[in-house]
Amino acid sequence: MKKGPYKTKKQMCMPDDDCPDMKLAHSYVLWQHYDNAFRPQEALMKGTLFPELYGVYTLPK
Amino acid sequence: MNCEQQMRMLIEVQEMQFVALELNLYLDTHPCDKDAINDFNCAVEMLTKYKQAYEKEYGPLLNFGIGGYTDEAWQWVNSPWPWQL
Repeated sequence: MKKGPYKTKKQMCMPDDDCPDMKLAHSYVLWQHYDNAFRPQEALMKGTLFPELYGVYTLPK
Repeated sequence: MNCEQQMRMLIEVQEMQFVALELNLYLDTHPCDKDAINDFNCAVEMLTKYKQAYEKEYGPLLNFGIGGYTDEAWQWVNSPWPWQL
Protein backbone atom coordinates (compact mmCIF):
# COMPACT_ATOMS: atom_id res chain seq x y z
CA MET A 1 0.00 0.00 0.00
CA LYS A 2 1.35 3.37 -1.04
CA LYS A 3 1.80 5.89 1.75
CA GLY A 4 1.91 9.65 1.59
CA PRO A 5 2.53 12.31 0.61
CA TYR A 6 1.34 13.52 3.98
CA LYS A 7 0.17 17.05 4.67
CA THR A 8 1.85 18.98 7.39
CA LYS A 9 -0.27 20.29 10.25
CA LYS A 10 0.02 23.81 8.81
CA GLN A 11 -1.26 22.64 5.43
CA MET A 12 -4.24 20.93 7.04
CA CYS A 13 -5.15 24.00 9.07
CA MET A 14 -4.51 26.57 6.35
CA PRO A 15 -5.71 25.22 2.99
CA ASP A 16 -4.36 28.19 1.05
CA ASP A 17 -4.86 26.62 -2.35
CA ASP A 18 -8.35 25.15 -1.80
CA CYS A 19 -10.20 28.41 -2.43
CA PRO A 20 -7.99 30.51 -4.67
CA ASP A 21 -10.69 33.14 -5.36
CA MET A 22 -11.37 34.05 -1.76
CA LYS A 23 -10.63 37.64 -0.77
CA LEU A 24 -9.06 38.87 2.43
CA ALA A 25 -11.49 40.22 5.04
CA HIS A 26 -11.83 43.95 5.60
CA SER A 27 -12.47 45.34 9.05
CA TYR A 28 -13.77 48.77 9.96
CA VAL A 29 -14.79 50.78 12.99
CA LEU A 30 -17.30 53.60 13.12
CA TRP A 31 -15.75 57.06 13.38
CA GLN A 32 -16.16 58.36 16.89
CA HIS A 33 -17.60 61.83 17.53
CA TYR A 34 -16.96 63.62 20.79
CA ASP A 35 -20.27 65.28 21.64
CA ASN A 36 -21.04 64.13 25.17
CA ALA A 37 -19.11 62.82 28.13
CA PHE A 38 -19.91 61.17 31.42
CA ARG A 39 -19.04 63.01 34.61
CA PRO A 40 -15.62 61.88 35.96
CA GLN A 41 -17.15 59.79 38.75
CA GLU A 42 -19.55 58.06 36.37
CA ALA A 43 -16.85 57.55 33.73
CA LEU A 44 -14.52 55.72 36.11
CA MET A 45 -17.35 53.46 37.28
CA LYS A 46 -18.50 52.67 33.74
CA GLY A 47 -15.03 52.22 32.29
CA THR A 48 -15.42 54.83 29.56
CA LEU A 49 -15.77 58.59 29.28
CA PHE A 50 -17.87 58.30 26.15
CA PRO A 51 -21.59 57.46 26.40
CA GLU A 52 -21.68 56.08 22.85
CA LEU A 53 -19.14 53.43 23.84
CA TYR A 54 -21.00 52.30 26.93
CA GLY A 55 -23.42 49.38 26.85
CA VAL A 56 -22.76 48.57 23.20
CA TYR A 57 -22.54 44.88 24.03
CA THR A 58 -24.80 43.20 26.55
CA LEU A 59 -22.94 41.46 29.34
CA PRO A 60 -23.53 37.71 29.61
CA LYS A 61 -25.56 36.79 32.70
CA MET B 1 -5.23 59.77 60.40
CA ASN B 2 -8.41 60.42 58.47
CA CYS B 3 -8.44 57.54 55.99
CA GLU B 4 -11.91 58.38 54.70
CA GLN B 5 -10.79 61.84 53.64
CA GLN B 6 -7.59 60.42 52.16
CA MET B 7 -9.57 57.86 50.17
CA ARG B 8 -11.96 60.51 48.89
CA MET B 9 -9.08 62.67 47.68
CA LEU B 10 -7.38 59.67 46.07
CA ILE B 11 -10.57 58.77 44.21
CA GLU B 12 -10.78 62.35 42.93
CA VAL B 13 -7.28 61.91 41.51
CA GLN B 14 -8.20 58.56 39.96
CA GLU B 15 -11.37 59.92 38.38
CA MET B 16 -9.64 62.89 36.79
CA GLN B 17 -6.72 60.73 35.69
CA PHE B 18 -9.20 58.44 33.94
CA VAL B 19 -10.78 61.42 32.16
CA ALA B 20 -7.32 62.53 30.99
CA LEU B 21 -6.51 58.98 29.87
CA GLU B 22 -9.73 58.65 27.88
CA LEU B 23 -9.28 62.02 26.18
CA ASN B 24 -5.64 61.11 25.51
CA LEU B 25 -6.71 57.95 23.67
CA TYR B 26 -9.42 59.84 21.78
CA LEU B 27 -6.94 62.52 20.70
CA ASP B 28 -4.56 59.85 19.40
CA THR B 29 -7.06 59.27 16.60
CA HIS B 30 -8.66 62.76 16.54
CA PRO B 31 -5.66 65.09 16.99
CA CYS B 32 -7.46 68.16 15.56
CA ASP B 33 -10.59 68.02 17.74
CA LYS B 34 -10.38 71.40 19.49
CA ASP B 35 -13.14 70.62 22.01
CA ALA B 36 -11.33 67.46 23.09
CA ILE B 37 -8.01 69.31 23.33
CA ASN B 38 -9.66 71.96 25.48
CA ASP B 39 -11.27 69.36 27.74
CA PHE B 40 -8.01 67.42 27.95
CA ASN B 41 -6.15 70.55 29.08
CA CYS B 42 -8.87 71.24 31.66
CA ALA B 43 -8.58 67.66 32.93
CA VAL B 44 -4.79 67.97 33.21
CA GLU B 45 -5.18 71.22 35.13
CA MET B 46 -7.70 69.69 37.51
CA LEU B 47 -5.59 66.55 37.89
CA THR B 48 -2.54 68.62 38.81
CA LYS B 49 -4.57 70.47 41.45
CA TYR B 50 -6.00 67.25 42.89
CA LYS B 51 -2.56 65.62 43.01
CA GLN B 52 -0.99 68.64 44.68
CA ALA B 53 -3.81 68.81 47.23
CA TYR B 54 -3.44 65.10 47.99
CA GLU B 55 0.35 65.17 48.25
CA LYS B 56 0.30 68.27 50.44
CA GLU B 57 -1.94 66.44 52.88
CA TYR B 58 -0.79 62.81 52.65
CA GLY B 59 2.62 62.69 51.00
CA PRO B 60 3.78 61.54 47.58
CA LEU B 61 1.58 59.49 45.27
CA LEU B 62 4.57 58.10 43.36
CA ASN B 63 8.18 57.32 44.14
CA PHE B 64 11.34 56.73 42.03
CA GLY B 65 11.56 60.48 41.40
CA ILE B 66 8.27 60.58 39.50
CA GLY B 67 6.41 62.15 42.39
CA GLY B 68 8.66 65.18 42.73
CA TYR B 69 10.76 66.53 45.56
CA THR B 70 10.64 65.34 49.13
CA ASP B 71 10.89 67.26 52.40
CA GLU B 72 13.83 66.88 54.74
CA ALA B 73 12.38 63.63 56.07
CA TRP B 74 11.82 60.88 53.50
CA GLN B 75 8.06 61.09 53.00
CA TRP B 76 7.39 58.00 50.94
CA VAL B 77 7.36 55.74 54.02
CA ASN B 78 5.39 58.05 56.30
CA SER B 79 1.80 57.35 55.33
CA PRO B 80 -0.12 54.38 53.94
CA TRP B 81 0.69 53.95 50.28
CA PRO B 82 -2.17 54.70 47.90
CA TRP B 83 -2.89 51.00 47.30
CA GLN B 84 -3.09 50.30 51.05
CA LEU B 85 -6.11 52.51 51.62
